[in-house]
Amino acid sequence: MSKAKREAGYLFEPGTKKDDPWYVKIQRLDSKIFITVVIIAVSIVLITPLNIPVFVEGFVLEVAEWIESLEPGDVIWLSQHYSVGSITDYGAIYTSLITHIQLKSGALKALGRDVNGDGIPDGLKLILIPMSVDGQIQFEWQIKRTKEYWPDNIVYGEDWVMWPYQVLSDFIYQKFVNEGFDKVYTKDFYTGKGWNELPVTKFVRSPRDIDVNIGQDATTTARIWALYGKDPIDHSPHKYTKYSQSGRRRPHAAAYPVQVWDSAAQAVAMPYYTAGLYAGFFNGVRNGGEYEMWLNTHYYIKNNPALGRVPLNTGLGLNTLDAMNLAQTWTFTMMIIGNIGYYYQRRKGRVT
Amino acid sequence: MAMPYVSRRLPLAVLFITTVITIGNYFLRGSAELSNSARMLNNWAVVLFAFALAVGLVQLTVLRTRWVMNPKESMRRRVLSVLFLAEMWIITIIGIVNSRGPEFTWISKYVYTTLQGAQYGMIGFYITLACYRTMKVRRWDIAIFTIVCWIHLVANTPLVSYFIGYGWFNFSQWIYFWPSTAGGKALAMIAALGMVSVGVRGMLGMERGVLGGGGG
Repeated sequence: MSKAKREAGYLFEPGTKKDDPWYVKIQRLDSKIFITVVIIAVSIVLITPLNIPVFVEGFVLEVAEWIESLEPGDVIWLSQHYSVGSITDYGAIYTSLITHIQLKSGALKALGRDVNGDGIPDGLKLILIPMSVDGQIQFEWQIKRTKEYWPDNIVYGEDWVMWPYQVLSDFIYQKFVNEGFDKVYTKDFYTGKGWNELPVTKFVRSPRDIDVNIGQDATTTARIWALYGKDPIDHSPHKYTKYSQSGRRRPHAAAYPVQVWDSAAQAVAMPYYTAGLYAGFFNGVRNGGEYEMWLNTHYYIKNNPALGRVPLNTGLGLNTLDAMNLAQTWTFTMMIIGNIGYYYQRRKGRVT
Repeated sequence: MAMPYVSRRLPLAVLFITTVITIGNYFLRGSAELSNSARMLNNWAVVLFAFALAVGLVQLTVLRTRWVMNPKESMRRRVLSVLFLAEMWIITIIGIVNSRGPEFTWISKYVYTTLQGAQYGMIGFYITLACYRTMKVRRWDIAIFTIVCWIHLVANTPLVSYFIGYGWFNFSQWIYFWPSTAGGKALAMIAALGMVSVGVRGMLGMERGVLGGGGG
């Protein structure tokens, strides 16, 4: 790089003059400097977690309270549609959901109620469905990170199960309706048993038997569940009120999907959410960290107070939230400074 | 000019029949014959999608092999193509032989997952930089965009809520629940009308875009 092109030094972009005023220079901060600050901020909190306290948003409370209200024998369908790269965004939500469901399930199973009459006490029935080609890897990571906190009475095949990936989720959902789950899933991921051989799934015949559906695919599950789910949507106008659509929301819309998306997608999800097509919504990194914090304050490891509370960072949610906190603070601060510089530049009539 | 049978009329007839059965089954549920036909079409879609993956594998192999064999291609492209082919075929073969074996699990865990995470993580740096570089209040319409982005960015930084309370966050949520939702619903309706229009065009044999050479 010649001296003329790099005159103001490596702090600024090439072409910035030494005698340029501050309001020009502040807008021409070198990308490498900007990104280095982000890298340092992110690295610091990953090495030394701050675990900055956060309040738990309504979206998290809504689903957490819903899971709390479930009863023995209720079925939860938890699917994963996005590729493994997004695990930083959604990992903590899934680890928290799995941990919460299993802890609640263990507590319900301990009551000893046999709802479906198969001779086995029932907790919640958790069905894990990879809808992306690498969904299995993600579920295995989440199970590995949380299994030590699950109650001892949770048994694979009785209380939870994972099925292998099937090609093309959109059409698979229609296939569930047309042919039933047992025709689509013939061998479970861990033991190779069929849908009807496992106590956890043999009573689940169609989408109508599923109480909570959690996933990430924008419209297909909403469409299929609205038509064939437990509580099909009723479009009768008298059920609408000004601020809520009673009869179309939790718990009446118990079979409608809960969506797990990133923060950027919240704007896209809101129309479906406010219309009652989504019964719940999770908002990326932020809600992942918050759910970890909620679990920490509400549950003990294996439901045993002697073992202490469920730890934070089961899905690295709070650590990621720390990193996001610092990176975003730097970004919005620089946005203000950059705009102040731009304002002065316009007042002085300079254009760079 | 007469429409050729094999390349135009026959595919249009297939498109017409497929659309009528699928849409008809959706609105006229209850007919066993219609339902069975729609189910069969649905199964074919799954098979075709799986087949498309295989076609992609072959096409990529042919394309990359041509690049590797062509001395006129840059050395960088040839080396990257060799790496690409090796990676694609090693993972495919190991996955076919034993998708639950330790080799495939190792590749998934230490290669695929790590690279995907790295690729996804890198986007964050560009997004933060883009916020700083491009979000300047140049005009009133850009000002609305920039200010709303800034409000959401600050609201989604829990550190801020920790120090100044949740009023800011609630304001951001109000934007999501009202102005943003109103615009989102309008967009969803436009998209839905577009899909209905494509369906009707398909039923009338007017949708020819899928046959190549543009729509209409």
